[in-house]
Amino acid sequence: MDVLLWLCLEFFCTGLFAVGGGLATIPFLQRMGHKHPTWFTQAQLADTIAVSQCAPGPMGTNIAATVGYRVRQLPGAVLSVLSLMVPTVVIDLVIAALFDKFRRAKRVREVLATLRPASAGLILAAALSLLLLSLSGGQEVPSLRSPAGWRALAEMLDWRCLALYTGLLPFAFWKKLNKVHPLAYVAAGAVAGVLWKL
Amino acid sequence: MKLLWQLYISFFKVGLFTFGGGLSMFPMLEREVIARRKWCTKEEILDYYAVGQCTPGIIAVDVSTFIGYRMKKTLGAVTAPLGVITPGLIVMVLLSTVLRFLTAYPAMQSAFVGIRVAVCAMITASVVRILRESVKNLWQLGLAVISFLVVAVFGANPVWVVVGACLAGLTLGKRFSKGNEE
Repeated sequence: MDVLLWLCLEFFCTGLFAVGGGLATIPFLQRMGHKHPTWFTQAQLADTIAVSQCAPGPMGTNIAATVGYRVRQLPGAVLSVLSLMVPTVVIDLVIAALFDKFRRAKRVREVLATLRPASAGLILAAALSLLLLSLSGGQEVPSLRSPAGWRALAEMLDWRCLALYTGLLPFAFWKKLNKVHPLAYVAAGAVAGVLWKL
Repeated sequence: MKLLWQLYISFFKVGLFTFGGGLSMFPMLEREVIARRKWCTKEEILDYYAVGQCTPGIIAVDVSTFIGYRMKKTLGAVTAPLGVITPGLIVMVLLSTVLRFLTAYPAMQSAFVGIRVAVCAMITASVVRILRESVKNLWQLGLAVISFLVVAVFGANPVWVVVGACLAGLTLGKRFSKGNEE
């Protein structure tokens, strides 16, 4: 099957199952990278996510554009973004047509009450593996099912990366400080990376 | 036709002047869609956000689709989200081309190691916020923990987690929806 068709199919599925916005697409993208190793590595995906925060517009479609571009230049970028949007727009059309009924229906509310926490768990898992990858300077993270995997991970962690991460956390969490623009984080990370030769 | 063009241009602007999408889009929507065009009210947009957060796909696309539908039915619902994503698409394609050359330099590679870590700090805060908003009772907490473990430790396909959560909602829904009234 042609690569473009695969891209469309993968991003269509991502759009269909990623509940809760841009971050929710990351677990599906990580899996996409494992399934199609020639498309991108996990480290490249981490870079893509970082770059997507420096560009205007929704993070989810920006990531799709970069992944699509990496696989098949401009046609890949456009088709990936559109495929990601199709399920959302179609589902929203149905919802918009019955908006008020939709919000009041008991069944719908009950399903949403399970979808949100499940998706939050997925996002947490994706964020954790992204974090471990970033803290170890972009190396593949070993499976954490065995103690050996944990030991390997502990050896891979770069203490300077960990220091940078903990140093930036207060800015992300502390109310008075978190008006900081995303680009400021990116700039801080870039400066630290160059100065410390990470 | 004129309205469709206005929809496209307005949402293009919203996409161009916001970073990260989702909720960071709200101030720009207030300015462009509520104050300037008077297409809908603040309460309506907050409703769209609430639905967007629990339906599949990017929230920015959800919100723009709903506003577009309100103004011009199906055609509007297709035009508005296309406007929101266009600036990002153009910038990302240009950035990808430039970065392909730049990442050949070792300094640029070091910079990216740092950038990835910095972005993780931002993401950590978003994840904590998402968890707080989506977990309101013990049943939901259990579900979030299971979904985390199944994927993080056992490497399951996230699709099955979503399908499983739907089934759980259909069969045991009442327990999960406690404390979720808005």
